[in-house]
Amino acid sequence: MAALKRMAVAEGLLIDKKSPVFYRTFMDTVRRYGRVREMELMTRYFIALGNPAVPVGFTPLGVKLFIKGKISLQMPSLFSEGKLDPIYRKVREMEANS
Amino acid sequence: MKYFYYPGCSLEGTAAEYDVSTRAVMHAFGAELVELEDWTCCGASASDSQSHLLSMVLPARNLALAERTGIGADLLAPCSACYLNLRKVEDHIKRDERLLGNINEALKEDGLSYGNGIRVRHILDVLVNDFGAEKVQAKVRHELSNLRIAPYYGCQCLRPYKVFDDPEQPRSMEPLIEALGASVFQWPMGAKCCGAGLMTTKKELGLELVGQILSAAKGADCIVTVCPMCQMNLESYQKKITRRLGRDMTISVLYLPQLMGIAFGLPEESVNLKLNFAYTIPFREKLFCLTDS
Repeated sequence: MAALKRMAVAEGLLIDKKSPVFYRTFMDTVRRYGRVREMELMTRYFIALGNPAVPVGFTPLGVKLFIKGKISLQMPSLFSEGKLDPIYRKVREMEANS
Repeated sequence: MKYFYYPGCSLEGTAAEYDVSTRAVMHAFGAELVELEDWTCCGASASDSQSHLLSMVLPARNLALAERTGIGADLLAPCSACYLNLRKVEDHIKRDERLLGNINEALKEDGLSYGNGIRVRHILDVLVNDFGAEKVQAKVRHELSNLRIAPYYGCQCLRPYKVFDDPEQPRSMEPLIEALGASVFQWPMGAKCCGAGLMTTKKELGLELVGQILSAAKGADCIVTVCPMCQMNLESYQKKITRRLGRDMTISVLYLPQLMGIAFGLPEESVNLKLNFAYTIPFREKLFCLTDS
């Protein structure tokens, strides 16, 4: 199943772009920080989708999470070396050579 | 008894109450949890759609951290997605003789290597098989009698690997619930999918799946879960589903260690019910009534 997903993304065969955009954004957040930062992940996901209707549907949950202290605002670190950059780079290199 | 502890990203934030209650219940059993220093994300369900090798290297990095300590212990993962990702490393290494070498070539960039020597365990497996109903019952200070609890397992702690329960008709939680003094609400939805990440990318489908589960739970006092994603899906959209279906779909949803902590008489901060989204007044009154008696 995962192999099919990868092939579909690589060939641009997906009709709905939400899943690949979400996965790509998720993995980039992990590359940067080593762990998921929900607030930044969802913000970047919504920006990448470019559809203002999508975040509206998630606002009630986001507010509840924020009030409970389950998500927090953290300064993004967009330009420094990511926590997992060396591993990501190596994997890309190995896959390119395989 | 000592375990490596891999909380995973959810337990740091959206499932903080699962983290605190798991630690408290394990402590109550006298177990020592050694949290992995510098642990990183297991890749969740996102990595496999991007890169197969990365989906192996990310969880293996954490297993390598555990192995490097030289401590002989199993690795405990309360999150079902983390458990599955960590567990599948062992399975894929068995099936692909070149994989371990490839993983280690990538891990070398981070100064790590892995020898495939760490056994990964889900919290439910540990509670059932390392402690069991008898030890659970011995810890109970406040019997949860008159409560009907619907056990919800979800997918990832059961499938695809058959480890501690039947993947399609699981029952491992039942003796634990009964040991707490509660009765098991018999329903056919314990192993059904809640939609997982579809709630983010295909919300309509996610809402439909959760609606089916909540409908089937009518008659239970509470649903218990062992997965942060399941918990989030089952507790966060009850009002929306209630409006759509035109009937009350609200029900309390607790993590299993929270329910155990209450029955063990652990302090409020050890179960942190304040963080749950679905913790109804009737259920709370029933719990208070029981715990005050």
